[in-house]
Amino acid sequence: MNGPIIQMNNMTKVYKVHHREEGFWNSFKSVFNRKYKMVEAVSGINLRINKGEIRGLIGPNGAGKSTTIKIMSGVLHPSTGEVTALGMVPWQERERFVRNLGIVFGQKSQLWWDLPAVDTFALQKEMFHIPAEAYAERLSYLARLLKIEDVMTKPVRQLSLGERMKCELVCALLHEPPLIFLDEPTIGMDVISKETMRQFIKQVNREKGTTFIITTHDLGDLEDLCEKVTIINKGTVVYDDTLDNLSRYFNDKKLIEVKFIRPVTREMLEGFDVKSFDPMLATLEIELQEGETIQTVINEIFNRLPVKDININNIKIEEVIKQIYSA
Amino acid sequence: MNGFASIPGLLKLFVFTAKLDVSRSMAYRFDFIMGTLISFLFACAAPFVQYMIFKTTNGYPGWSIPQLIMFQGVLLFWGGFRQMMFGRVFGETMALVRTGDFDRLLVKPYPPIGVLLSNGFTMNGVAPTIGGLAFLIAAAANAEVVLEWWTIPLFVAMLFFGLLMLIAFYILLCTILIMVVQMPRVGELFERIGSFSEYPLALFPRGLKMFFSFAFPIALWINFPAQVLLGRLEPVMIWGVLFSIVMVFVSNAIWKVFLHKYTSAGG
Repeated sequence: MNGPIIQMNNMTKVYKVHHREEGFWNSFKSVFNRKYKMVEAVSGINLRINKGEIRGLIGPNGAGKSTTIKIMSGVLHPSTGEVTALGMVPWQERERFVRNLGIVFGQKSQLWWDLPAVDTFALQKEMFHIPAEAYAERLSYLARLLKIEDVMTKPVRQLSLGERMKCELVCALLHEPPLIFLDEPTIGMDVISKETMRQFIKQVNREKGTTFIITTHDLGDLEDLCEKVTIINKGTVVYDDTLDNLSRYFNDKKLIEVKFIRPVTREMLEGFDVKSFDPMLATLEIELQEGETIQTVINEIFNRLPVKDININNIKIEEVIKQIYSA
Repeated sequence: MNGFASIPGLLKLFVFTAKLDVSRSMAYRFDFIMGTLISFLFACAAPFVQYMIFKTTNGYPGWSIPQLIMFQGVLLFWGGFRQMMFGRVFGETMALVRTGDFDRLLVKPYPPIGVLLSNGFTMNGVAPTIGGLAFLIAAAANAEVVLEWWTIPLFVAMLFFGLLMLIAFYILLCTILIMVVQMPRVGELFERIGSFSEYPLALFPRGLKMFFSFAFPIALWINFPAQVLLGRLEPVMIWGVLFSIVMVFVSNAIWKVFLHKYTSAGG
């Protein structure tokens, strides 16, 4: 891995947000007397992303992911803290910076709705001063990888969501930026399209060394693409490490699947945190206390229950993420 | 602007997006054909109506009937031209800011206000511009305009500075929009005040005449170019030109201050 492409130190963003109670009267009052709250969308974020990484940026809705992305892309400026990306301060050197940036906002299309996507690609060529030969070569490469040779000549309004997202991705990549932000790139896509999209991202990352930062709610995207993941919750970074380590995040928590020789009642499992129950099969979540070993717990299970078979697993990543989100 | 160096690129962008806008109109063939036809018919009818109205009047102080008809020619041409160049700016900006799509402009390698303005082209203004120009040429011939060597260049220069002032006002309108998000009435207000430029200054009382010449010199849009064609040069025109240049810088500085305060929409 190379050096950092993005560095964020103690970054905070505060918004002034208008609040009002429900109803017409409150709406009328707010015309004359507006109540504002200062909301800290992100607070003290420290982040370092290396060149050539595919980094997953996840978090529950309203956690501060979009604000972080907007600050990293120069759309917004932080209230305090330092941010450098590609050696520049994004919002201060915005025009120069965005020449080296590709971005796909999941919910905001940059394609001209009534025209074929190729027309938007041509506009992109004009905007980023892409030489004609390079443009033709890149477009053919990207269209082949994403299998959109026929799609890109149809009016955008006739395309499926997946096809549109692929075209959005081409727009973001035509000027060959070293850094790309993808905001939920696989949202609403079918399994095949998701797979194509992921393969594409991996291939571009491998062949061109492009750094991708991906926000997603799809665990499959993370598992397939990202070695490292950053979790933002309530405006702060709560996890910033590899996906492998995330599965070991709750090292003292285990899921124990127990098969029984004969049917048991739920009462017999009292004292255990039962995650699923069937008279012949139960899943128990245990958390090892200080000084306690897995052997102690297993012994207790064997002593209390008619065990036929037993499996011990770490907590699933999905469950880990859920627990981090709700912390 | 950050900087004026972007202007050649933005002009190219304007031409490119104008072509895309025409392509978009042509994507719906029936609408395109009917729209062009209707727009062309209106463009032809408007000068005729103007001619009929002003033929029956006694003219205005300092303006003979043929000169007034020529003034209407400038008005029709200017109206079509500004519609063609920047007809979409206000509505488009309001929609972009309200939905948060304005963010997309901030990741383009140009000043965002430049991108907004370069997306201003609308097909609806093409026919009125052509019709207005044709009417203007005929009316100028009818008004027995004496063309000196400087008449046409100065007329074009006046239109250019008029356009510059229009750009300055649009920048201010866009600034208001990124500040308050939704305010269609400010656009209407601007149009209403701007509509005073559609009459010869001679019609207004002295106070208003001074106001439209100095404080808010919208006389630059139609009055001054028409006066240039009639060879009636006035020192106040220089003020209008200077005002338009200063206005562009001032409005751009104000835009930058408020752009810094832009908060986007939710993610």
